[in-house]
Amino acid sequence: MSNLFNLGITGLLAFQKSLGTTGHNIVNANTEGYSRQVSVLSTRAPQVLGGQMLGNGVDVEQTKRVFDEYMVTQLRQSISSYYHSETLHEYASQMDSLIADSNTGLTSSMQDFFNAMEGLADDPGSIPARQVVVTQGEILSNRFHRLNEQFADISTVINEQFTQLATEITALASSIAELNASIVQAYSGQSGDPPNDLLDKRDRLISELSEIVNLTAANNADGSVNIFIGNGDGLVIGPRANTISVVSDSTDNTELTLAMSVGSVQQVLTFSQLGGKIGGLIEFRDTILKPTQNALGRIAIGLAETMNAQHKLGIDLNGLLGGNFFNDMTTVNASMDSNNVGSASVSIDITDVKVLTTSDYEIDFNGAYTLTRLSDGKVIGSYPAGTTNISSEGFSLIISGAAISGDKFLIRPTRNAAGSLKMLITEAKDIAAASPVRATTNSNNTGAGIIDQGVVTSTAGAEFTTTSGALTPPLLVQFTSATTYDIYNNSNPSAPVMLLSGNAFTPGQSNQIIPGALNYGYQFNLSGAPDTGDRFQIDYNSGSVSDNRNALLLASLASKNTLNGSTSTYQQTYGQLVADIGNKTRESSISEDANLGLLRQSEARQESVSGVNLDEEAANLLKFQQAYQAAAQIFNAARNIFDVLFDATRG
Amino acid sequence: MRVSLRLFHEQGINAIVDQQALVGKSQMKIAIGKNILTPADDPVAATRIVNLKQEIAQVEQYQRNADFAQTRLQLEDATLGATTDTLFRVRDLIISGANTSLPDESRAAIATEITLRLDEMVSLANTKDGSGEYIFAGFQGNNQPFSRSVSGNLIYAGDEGQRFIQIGSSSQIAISDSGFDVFQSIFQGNGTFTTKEGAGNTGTGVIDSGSVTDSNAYVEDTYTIAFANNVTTGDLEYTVTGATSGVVVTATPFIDGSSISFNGIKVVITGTPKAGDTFTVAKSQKQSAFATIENAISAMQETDKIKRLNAINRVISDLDQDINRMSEIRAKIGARLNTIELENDVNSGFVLFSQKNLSRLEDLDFAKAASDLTRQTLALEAAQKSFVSIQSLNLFSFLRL
Repeated sequence: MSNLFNLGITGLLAFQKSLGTTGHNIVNANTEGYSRQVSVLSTRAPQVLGGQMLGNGVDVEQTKRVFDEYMVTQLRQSISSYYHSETLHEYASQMDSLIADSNTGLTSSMQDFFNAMEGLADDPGSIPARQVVVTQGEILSNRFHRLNEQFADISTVINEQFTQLATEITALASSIAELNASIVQAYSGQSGDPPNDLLDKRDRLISELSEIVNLTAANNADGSVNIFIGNGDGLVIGPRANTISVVSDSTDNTELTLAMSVGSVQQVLTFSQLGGKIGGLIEFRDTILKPTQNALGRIAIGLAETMNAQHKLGIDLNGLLGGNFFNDMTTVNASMDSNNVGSASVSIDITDVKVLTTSDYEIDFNGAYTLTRLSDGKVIGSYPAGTTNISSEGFSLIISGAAISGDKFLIRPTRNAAGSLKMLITEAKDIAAASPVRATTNSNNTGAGIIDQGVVTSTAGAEFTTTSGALTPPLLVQFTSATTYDIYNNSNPSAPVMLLSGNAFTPGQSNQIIPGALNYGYQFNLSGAPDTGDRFQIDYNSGSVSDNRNALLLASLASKNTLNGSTSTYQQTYGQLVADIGNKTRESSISEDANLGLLRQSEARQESVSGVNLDEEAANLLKFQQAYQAAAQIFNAARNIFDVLFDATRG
Repeated sequence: MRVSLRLFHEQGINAIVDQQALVGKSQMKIAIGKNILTPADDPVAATRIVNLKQEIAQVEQYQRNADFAQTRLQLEDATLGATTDTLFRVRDLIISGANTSLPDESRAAIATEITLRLDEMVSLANTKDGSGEYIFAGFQGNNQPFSRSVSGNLIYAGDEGQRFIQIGSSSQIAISDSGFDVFQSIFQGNGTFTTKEGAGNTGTGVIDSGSVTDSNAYVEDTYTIAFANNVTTGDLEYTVTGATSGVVVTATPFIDGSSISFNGIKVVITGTPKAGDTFTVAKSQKQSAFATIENAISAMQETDKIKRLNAINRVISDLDQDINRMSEIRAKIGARLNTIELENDVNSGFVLFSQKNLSRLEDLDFAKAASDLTRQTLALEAAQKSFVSIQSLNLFSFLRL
């Protein structure tokens, strides 16, 4: 009979516990990371009395959380992928709107600049027309600066993000390590129930960590978890966590990267698989930000170099040869790795903007120099020790000093060009719109020879540089027959000095009349049929306010294929950049959407296993309540039996 | 599948938020009126848009250049038209001056008027454009091209530069002609050769400017037509001798007004030359239009009738050459203006076409966008309503514990 009371008590205790678990579930229905718990009921071991089995009631064997390790792993993977693409898309779309916007992009100011140049070609003597070119040129170079500054701002924000995320990783890692310790202690405490709420909390922290960085978690037998990030580097090992900090990149000190401190050793993290916000930042920086800075720099260098080269072939309103239109950006220093031990230094000399790429390069020394293009990892060439000049890909590397094996240099030919572009012409008069040479036909000529006004290919020679503002020497072309002519030095027109005699001329067609032997940087064409004795003079084009020949050539640079292996104009190159960023942004947006879908699926799957359903809990509440009431009835039954027994014995 | 409380809420909220994002994007497109908000919306179209806008801006610049060229060329054409009128006036004056019955005073008056005409021509040749540059100075736009030297000669201070302007992606057009080409280097006479009477002629022979009758037979040389009396008959005869070709016409009796032909050349001498008189036929030299008019003035001032008539003949043929030159240049200007017109047509066609393309790529189809927005708004409302109504379904609300 006493057994009946005992049975009732086990029932009351078990259902009380179950009701408690259900209540715990109900109140935690909205708790982030909570896994629903169930109390597992089982029968107590029976009592054997004289060959009879007597039931001993019910017991709560264990209260456990409903949890699927595999789904949780998958969920963390989805979280990492989602935050990776989310971060990438966030930054990419920032770039996207920056370079395409007509207020911040390059297109309109580039067009305005060349339109101003056309306006100058229309009216080369007009100071207002020249002033417009100066103003538009400044606007254009400011636009380059603005874009570059905005890129630099983004780069700074990324560095700040790295710093902040490093702190977050460290904090999360140490919390996980602390929980590991508590969990190990809880398990060893032999209390029977697993430390469900601690496990949930740890899982939630690990999920938070996987928002930041791609990780792998490995369970240990004692209930602790080891967390690995990067290239299998242990961030949390049982109860111990390592610190994550930021360090400057060894070759580029403007760029921060993550490092892990293991004891006193600080080790730069590399990532075998990108994920989380860190992954998004790294991918954005490597595949969008840096290539864009380089591409913009390439346009700036291309513009400056081609404009400068053409501008030097002309003369300004003062009759002097044109100088550099924009600053010369052909010489750049390579950045030396901070771990280099040798004395070598490398400078970059840009030699051909046509073939320049938007990639960065690295040169390593390991007994010999190896030049690698970083955009695709292609080895451009290998050069023996002692090499002082390496020419490739549109630039030359000038190496001085001695490198020691392991030394390396980062070559970034175009990175900073957009930021340093500067217009050197400040006076409207200094724009070289005219060409420095002209020809005149002697008015006494009897023949029908027609000379053109010449083309200039170089003004670097002595014929232009000996005396500024004059041709040294001016030339006199005199025909000695219908098919031959002499060339004289006409410095003293009353006594010309013979330079080259008996040059051949073919009447009736266009003849280049400056013989190659003179090696002058200009050429004239003479056509028709000059008579014997006919003279033509070639002089410096002084006073040529109405000459627009060089301005026309400067303006035509806008439609010349000067970049990208002579396949694209400046504008087309910029257009390709816009398209490129557009494509990458679109790609990142699509993958963000896809990853969001996957994340929601994983969450749904995980929630459907571990989440709390209130209806279910309401039903459980009823069930256990009824069971509790039923168990209480057992006491009633027992009491009735006793009453019956007492009544019977009272007689 | 079990649906947990949080999953239920999250799914409901996600559906609403996703719909809101779509509605927001559609609303933005309608507000801006563009189909593409950033290049990421359609990278291919975005590149086309960038390129099209740039091409349109470029072609619009070509059109501005063409307008400028048109103004310049019209100014030049008008100036040359006035110059031609002046040359015709001088020609008329000199022809009236050829009338032998005209008294000396009238010729002096004609000479005075021609002098005025000369000044008029010089000032036309020194025309400036809107920005104050001399249009006939070549590249030396700030130098007055024609002015009198200390000795009184008109000298040319410009050069032979010609300015070109870009009016199409592959087409440049000349917008000026140098004073050298227009006024300075004009062949005299009939353009091939000039005729001149000997300085010591005593007869009344007057030579015309002649012509080339057979350009294949023409030999460039300095020919002398010499008159002598036949030793036997005493008749007036002429012989023609070339400086390098030797005798080309042996002694031939002279008939007043009949043509003398040799080596593809025909000249006519009227009047009666005397034995010992000579005439020369020589290759044309170049001369300026101003020099021609100066010659006209001195011809009017010439007192010797025969010399005057010979001089007038020369001036008239030189004037014809000058007028021809003006016509040639004006024909070139006309051709350039035509080219500009054609190029303008091509350019405006291009702009129109490109703008149509641009609009197709960039502009929003409002009807479609509006219907999209309505559809999305409806979906958003449905998501919101269904969430609210399902949310109230809960076993707890039926429990009376």
